[in-house]
Amino acid sequence: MGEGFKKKKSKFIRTAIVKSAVCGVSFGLFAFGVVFLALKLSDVALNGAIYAVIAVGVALLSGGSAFLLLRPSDKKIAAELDNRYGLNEKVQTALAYSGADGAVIEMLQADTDARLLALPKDKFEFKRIWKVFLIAVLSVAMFVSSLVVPSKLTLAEGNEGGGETVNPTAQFVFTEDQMEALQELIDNVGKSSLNASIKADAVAELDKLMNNLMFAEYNSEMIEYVGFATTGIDKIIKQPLTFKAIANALGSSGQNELAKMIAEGVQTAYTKVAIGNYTSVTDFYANRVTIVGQTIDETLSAFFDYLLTDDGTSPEDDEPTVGVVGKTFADIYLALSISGADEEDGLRTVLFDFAKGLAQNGVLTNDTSFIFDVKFKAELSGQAYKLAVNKYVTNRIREIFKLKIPSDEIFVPTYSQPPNLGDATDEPIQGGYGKGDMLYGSDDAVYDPITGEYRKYGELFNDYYAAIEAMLRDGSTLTEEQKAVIRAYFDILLSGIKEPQE
Amino acid sequence: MDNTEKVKKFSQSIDKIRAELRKDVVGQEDIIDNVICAIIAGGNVLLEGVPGVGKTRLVRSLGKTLSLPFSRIQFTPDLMPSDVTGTNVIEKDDKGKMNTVFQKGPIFANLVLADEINRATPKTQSAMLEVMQEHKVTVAKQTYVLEEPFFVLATENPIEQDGTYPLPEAQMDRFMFKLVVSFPSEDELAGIVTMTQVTMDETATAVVDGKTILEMRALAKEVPVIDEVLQFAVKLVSGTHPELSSAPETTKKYVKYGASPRAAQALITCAKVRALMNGNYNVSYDDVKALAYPVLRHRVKTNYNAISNHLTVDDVIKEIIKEIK
Repeated sequence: MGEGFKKKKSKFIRTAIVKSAVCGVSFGLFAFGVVFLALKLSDVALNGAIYAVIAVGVALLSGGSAFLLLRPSDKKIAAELDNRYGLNEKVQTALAYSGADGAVIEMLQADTDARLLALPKDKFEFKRIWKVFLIAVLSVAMFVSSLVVPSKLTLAEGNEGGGETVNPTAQFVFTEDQMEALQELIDNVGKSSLNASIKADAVAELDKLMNNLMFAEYNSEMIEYVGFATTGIDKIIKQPLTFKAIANALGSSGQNELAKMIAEGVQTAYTKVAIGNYTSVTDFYANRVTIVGQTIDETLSAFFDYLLTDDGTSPEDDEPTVGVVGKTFADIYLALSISGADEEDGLRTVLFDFAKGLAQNGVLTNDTSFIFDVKFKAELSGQAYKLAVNKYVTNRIREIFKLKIPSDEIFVPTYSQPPNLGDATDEPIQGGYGKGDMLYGSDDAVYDPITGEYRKYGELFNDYYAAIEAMLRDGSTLTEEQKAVIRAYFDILLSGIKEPQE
Repeated sequence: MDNTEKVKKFSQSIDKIRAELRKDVVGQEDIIDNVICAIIAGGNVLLEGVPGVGKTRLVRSLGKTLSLPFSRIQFTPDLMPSDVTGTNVIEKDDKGKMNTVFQKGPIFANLVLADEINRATPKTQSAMLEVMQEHKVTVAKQTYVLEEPFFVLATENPIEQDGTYPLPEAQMDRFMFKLVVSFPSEDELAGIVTMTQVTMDETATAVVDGKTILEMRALAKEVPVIDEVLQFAVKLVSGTHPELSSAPETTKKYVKYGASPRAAQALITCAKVRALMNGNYNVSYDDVKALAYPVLRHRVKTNYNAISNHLTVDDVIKEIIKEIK
């Protein structure tokens, strides 16, 4: 075939390449956008290089496939030319007989080539441009959407407490106020009641942040360092928490009422712990620990009421029998055995030992119930405390540097019926306890048998609870003396003694 | 002679033949072109038309233009086969000896006009069969080959059917084309009247000879045709057979008998000539479609359904072409 056909052929191939490239780029962008958006919505972050690999890979694959499909053969080109320009099968015949001899064939070749060379230049057109355009639009839309969806650490457009927008390309200035606020935060963490090793690691992480920020030049670097710090704090303080796993394990017990109550109690306590603003660790500690204690107590008290018999029989005919009680705790014991929680985890140990004992003995005494009550609340309070400290630290960091504070997660354990979350906007209760119709506020004076003085209930509760919590978290074996203290303290709480007893 | 000159000579010859024929025949451009096409392709033509439309004049004019020995056979019911082919006669030679000599009949020419061929008896018509297909005459076991190029151009009158003998299928199949010569338009009629006022004789002169015709035929055979076009022609002919499962709906509904394989041969052979005549060097779908009517109309038999729906064979062929494409 002559020059005319070769020129037209190259035009066809160029068109196929362009169409394939558009197809490849569109699909590459589309794939990038889909993956990016999906992972962002799932809060999963990947290295940017992986996204690039995905996009390029999909682009090459789809573009290559498109070219293989669109690449025209000589025969197709000839047919297309004949149809497009009304050449009455001249090009196809010339192609079919290229290389053949004969007077007429030679004339045909020359005539066809001359006609092809005389054809006007083709205007670039896509017959199916609307389909390609649609793919391109969708891919761009997907890509833009994934960029628009905010990730966890994004520019502060104004959180609930107000805030300025941080321009990542602007220069970063580490102001004195920021340094002081960050140092104060480090000091507060140092003064907290976190476990010594956790505390040391958290302080080290914050010191590292302080050092990094000294050398940050742009806001983008500051954002990155803050991100590293909050991630680090999460790992140090938050990750050892196990109440979620335990609550899920208990909730999956199905028909187990106690498990459900405990799971609800954990969830409610966590919800009330997680939601709300606080300004300092101390302030949180005073309020949140009380909330946790009260919540757990409420959920357990009703159940323990009818278990408080020496021989394990039910006080009422319609209450569960010993056999049911035994099975209840056997289920809990089994659930915790297979929950996968760390065997050294304090919260799990409390529940496990308690359930094991009840499953084996089928008897619940006052002592057993009180010890469980205290230990369970202590363990859960400890975890809640750690969670609170974590949230305080990470949110405070963001607040200092005017970065958006993400909305709090609401943890919902997995069981058949959704729990009643309660009103999350309740004002924190300033301590208090009551049974039946007798309720005491935190400012009410109660008699302290240890000191022989009348003291405010709230203060007394905090002191004793702090002592108990410290002793229990140290893992020491309770002595008889300690048991007596605990018993006496909780007697006060349960009975609400307001006057010294004769 | 190089290739360009060969093709140029072909085109010039065609133009000359057309020009000469137009001297004696007014209008009928398609008929003239198809006749030329058939002659170059080496086929016979059946011209159908009412009396006086110029069928015989065209053939006589063609004979003069091609400078080929021309003979005319006026078919009548009493015409015998030997009147066409010739017969052995006994002659006394110079020495007084009686010898049997074959006296050639009017068929021994290059261009034979078989006028009103449908008036001859089937026996006489069958005498034309061997001549038209094989270009040979066999008389008393002796075969005489006719000189090439050899053509039979037959005419028939579609009106007077009394006393006529419809041509048998076998003979119809020997005609490459059947051309319907229509009544001229008013302008053409005026032209005819004007021309014949001067002279009734044909004024065409010889512009090509037999050798040139044979060269043109050889050149036309070289015209290439791609498989797709060939397949189209084959499908078109197969599509006229209602007994085949691949036949289109029109065929199954309106056709009684389909065309023979000679139709496919004629289509491609004539398409090649037509392409060259139009200045093309390849056979196209348009060539095949244009020649479908003259090639198929006498080979395809429509049924009563077509007749009752007032569909001519050309209408049926048109629908078949649409469905095949």
